[in-house]
Amino acid sequence: MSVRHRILDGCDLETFIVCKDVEEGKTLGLRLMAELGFEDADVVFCEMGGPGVRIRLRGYVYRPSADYQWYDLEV
Amino acid sequence: MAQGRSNGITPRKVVLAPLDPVHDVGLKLIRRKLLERGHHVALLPPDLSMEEIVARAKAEDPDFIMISRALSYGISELLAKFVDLCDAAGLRERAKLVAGGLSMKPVIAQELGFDAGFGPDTPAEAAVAYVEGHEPGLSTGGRRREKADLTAGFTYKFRDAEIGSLCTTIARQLIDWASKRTSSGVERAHLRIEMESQRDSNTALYPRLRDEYAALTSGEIREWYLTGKPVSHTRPVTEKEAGYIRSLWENADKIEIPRSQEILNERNVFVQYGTGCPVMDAYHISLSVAWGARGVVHFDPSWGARNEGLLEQAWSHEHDGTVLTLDNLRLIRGGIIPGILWQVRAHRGLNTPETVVLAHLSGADLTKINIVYGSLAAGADPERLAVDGVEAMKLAAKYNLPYDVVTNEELAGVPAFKAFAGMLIVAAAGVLLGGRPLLQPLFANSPEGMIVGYTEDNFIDFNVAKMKVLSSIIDAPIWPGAPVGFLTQTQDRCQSSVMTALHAALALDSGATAVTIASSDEAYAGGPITAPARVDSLKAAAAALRFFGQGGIRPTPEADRIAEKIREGILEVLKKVAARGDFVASLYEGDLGDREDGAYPGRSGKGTVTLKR
Amino acid sequence: MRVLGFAGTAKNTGKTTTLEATIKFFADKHKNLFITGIGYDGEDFDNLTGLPKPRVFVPEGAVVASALPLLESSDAKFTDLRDTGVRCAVGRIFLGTATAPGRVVLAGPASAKDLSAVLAFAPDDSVVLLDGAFSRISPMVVADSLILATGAARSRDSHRIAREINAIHKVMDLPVIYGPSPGPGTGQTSGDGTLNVSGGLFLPGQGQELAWRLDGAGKPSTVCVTGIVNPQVFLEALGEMDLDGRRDLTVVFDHPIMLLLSGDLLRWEEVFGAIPEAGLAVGVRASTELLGVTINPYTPTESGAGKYIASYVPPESFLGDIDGLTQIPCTDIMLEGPGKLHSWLEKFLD
Repeated sequence: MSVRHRILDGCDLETFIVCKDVEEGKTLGLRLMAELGFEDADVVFCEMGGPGVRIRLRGYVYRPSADYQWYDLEV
Repeated sequence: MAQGRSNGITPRKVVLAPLDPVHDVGLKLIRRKLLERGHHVALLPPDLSMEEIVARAKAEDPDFIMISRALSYGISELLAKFVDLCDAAGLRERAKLVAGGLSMKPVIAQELGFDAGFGPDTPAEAAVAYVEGHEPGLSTGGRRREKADLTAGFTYKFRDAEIGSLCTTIARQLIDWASKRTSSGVERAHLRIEMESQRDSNTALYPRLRDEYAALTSGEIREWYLTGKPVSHTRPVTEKEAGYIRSLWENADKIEIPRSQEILNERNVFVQYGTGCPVMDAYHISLSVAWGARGVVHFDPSWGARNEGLLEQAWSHEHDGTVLTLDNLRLIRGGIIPGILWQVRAHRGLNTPETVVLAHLSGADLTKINIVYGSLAAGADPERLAVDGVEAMKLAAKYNLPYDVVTNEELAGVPAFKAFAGMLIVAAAGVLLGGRPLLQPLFANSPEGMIVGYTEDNFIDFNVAKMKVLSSIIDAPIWPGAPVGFLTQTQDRCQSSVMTALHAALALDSGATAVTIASSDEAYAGGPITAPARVDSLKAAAAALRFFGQGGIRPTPEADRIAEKIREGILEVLKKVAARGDFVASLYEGDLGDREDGAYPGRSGKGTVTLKR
Repeated sequence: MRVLGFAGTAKNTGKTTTLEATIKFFADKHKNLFITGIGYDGEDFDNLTGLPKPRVFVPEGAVVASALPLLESSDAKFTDLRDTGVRCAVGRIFLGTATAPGRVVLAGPASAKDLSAVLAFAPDDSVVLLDGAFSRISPMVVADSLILATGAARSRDSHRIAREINAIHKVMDLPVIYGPSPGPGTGQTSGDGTLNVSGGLFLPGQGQELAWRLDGAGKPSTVCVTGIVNPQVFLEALGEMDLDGRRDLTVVFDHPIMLLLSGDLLRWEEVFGAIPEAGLAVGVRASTELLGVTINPYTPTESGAGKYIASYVPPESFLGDIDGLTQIPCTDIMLEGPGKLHSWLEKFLD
């Protein structure tokens, strides 16, 4: 069981991605989240500046009312 | 040298020893604080060997030896050696050894053999408190456990006689009008009271009352009462989930807040919860309290206001807003630990009086009632909400439950002077009914602020003007919200947290009794608010309060000009409503906000008011 | 009540592993155990390096003195909780009796004074196991016997480790000289020919001062030095003393542990070389028996700012080198098994 299941709700990833515009930044950001295994991912904030975007990505591990597994399994 | 004071404190002898020259700032600060309180302090120079410090300390025969040193793996052995030297030299027969510095924490202090360890977040006051005999909180600060009374000390007397007289006249008319009418919402509230009193004791009567109740419900709520079919996007809370909540509450009262957040102990900062899931809510409440929130506000689903009737049992909701039922509230209630205020909102829909009943039965401290906002910007029929709102205020008075009167219609575009006129009328009615209302102006970059230009230069003047005008009109508690900073936050969490924090600081600086803040997810609509987003804005609020301290925020002279304009506007509206002689008609006719302002009288519950037999 | 201490020459030298093996030995023999520690031990990950740590398991029936929150969170399910009245940096120290075998984090009294207060609760027939911390050894004066842990975390140089062990062994082996309790340091020789010197010998200049006092105090036959003794300062005293005609002088220290707290341990080699030449007799008023030394090849190594990785020196050659150069028995429990440790513990019980 992955440590990710101990995350209370969502996991934010904040970084700066080198890209040509906001759209590319968002696409790359979501690809990054997919690579990291976050299936329920979204771009919370993305702003272009100079060489790329300041981006905050979010992967929801549990949305409200989900089947939480914080305690059930050893990680 | 001690600057002795007759402050009732036993003076202690303290030796302060910096173990390297870079890290004596903290000790110098502690020295100042200790001297101010009359203790005897010897601050040793930073270039002494361990043995020399021991010898110098031995000569002082102190009660405390405090050393400071940034910690690393290599340095730790030196500190351990120092502890050994002090022990062997007999210093510990009397003196307590305290270590402070970067990376220091109680478990490391313990391993090294110190009596206490303070990290970089520890304020000098904590070290002083330790010297004065208070046991140190372990790595955290304290949490104030006395519950604040937000209405204490307020007389509810109108300071502005002209406005007061008009408000009272209109409020009397409203109460008189409502006293002759009733609604299914009022009847359900009284049925609920009876049902809950009979639930366990009279198993024969309860089902009959429940049938009567079901007959007064509508939509999916009615369907659930009749067939048991769950409302869309809801499911029962499982036993396992209830277990999660109970196990979380077991240690809830042990929560101590980080020292960096202790400043919130002295302020009433509220946060809203309502993820839809009581389990997630429990966690959000717990962590919000852990980061210094002094109050939490139950946020229910918007459909709860549009349907007649409230569900029973505990429910989880897949979307925003946690279903209002007595069972849900009682599950959540377990985490409302001593010192924390709990508000269950009842303000805007067809279940207003019954929600006050549930708030009371579940042990809430506060509720929320407003007729004007609910009628003009939240979809409830004005006539219906006037009847239900007056009943809700009567119940709140009976239960001794204070409530805020909110002015969120400003978000739709209603100017502050109209919204305030409505709020003051409702608050005046509340006082006449024996209740304790709190005024809840919006702190926001509202459409009016943008269109008129009040917020063109800054977000201070308009908000300060609101505080000034309200406190000049009536001696009542003011609780900006809910939450503050609407339409100023963006999806960037830094910007969002800063805006929230500055609005909170501004509210408290300008005399607010309490303030409700958003999370840093306020402007993000793509999903539920997360736990870290809640921590963000609480951290930011504490930082802003620390930054301003008693320094204050200075508005420009424009604030007074805006305040005067708002007062004139309020007066004009009140005169018009009083002249109309029918508060409910004024609601329909737009005196308190019209279509041009973005206010539309709601249709939910239209035609459901009946004259009392 | 007999007290067995576990002291180290540094953090990560293997105290916990030795303690753990010792607990198991006494548990198998159904001894009444009373377990406490002078630091913080048994946690999952080291508080400074972040590396995994050995855990402390206690058997059913063992009495443990530790901070209350740690007893409460232990899976040994402690019962009969009693407040010792002693507070440490992580809470008030309570006694509890384990109702099941389980893991515990030890956080006990930090000073000799507090340790004595806690040990007053130990039943007469119990074996007290006293877990150390870092290189701290001062509170171990209350122990009857001591097992020393050292290894690569102290130094990767096996020869240096061997020299340190020999120095410690010699200090711990100083004869116990019984006599009256030392009085205050008056600077005068008492009727029984004793000169009392208080305040130790650990600061530059104190050696010279002792020599002057000796010269001005008649002809004492015994000098009782209370407090910490630094080998360098003691050498300074020896260099300053006019020892001609004082061949009968005996120097008595409090306890060998007082000689291990200040200065470079290896300087004791010089002291022990100089003592016979000076014709002095040196002893202590009370002592703790050193049963043996455990050797640990493990050492955390910094691999970048604040990050540590576990590393090891070659265990066989490290132990072999040290064992060949020392007189006191040495073992690496992980390499050789607990056999040698058990023989020391049998000796402790005898």
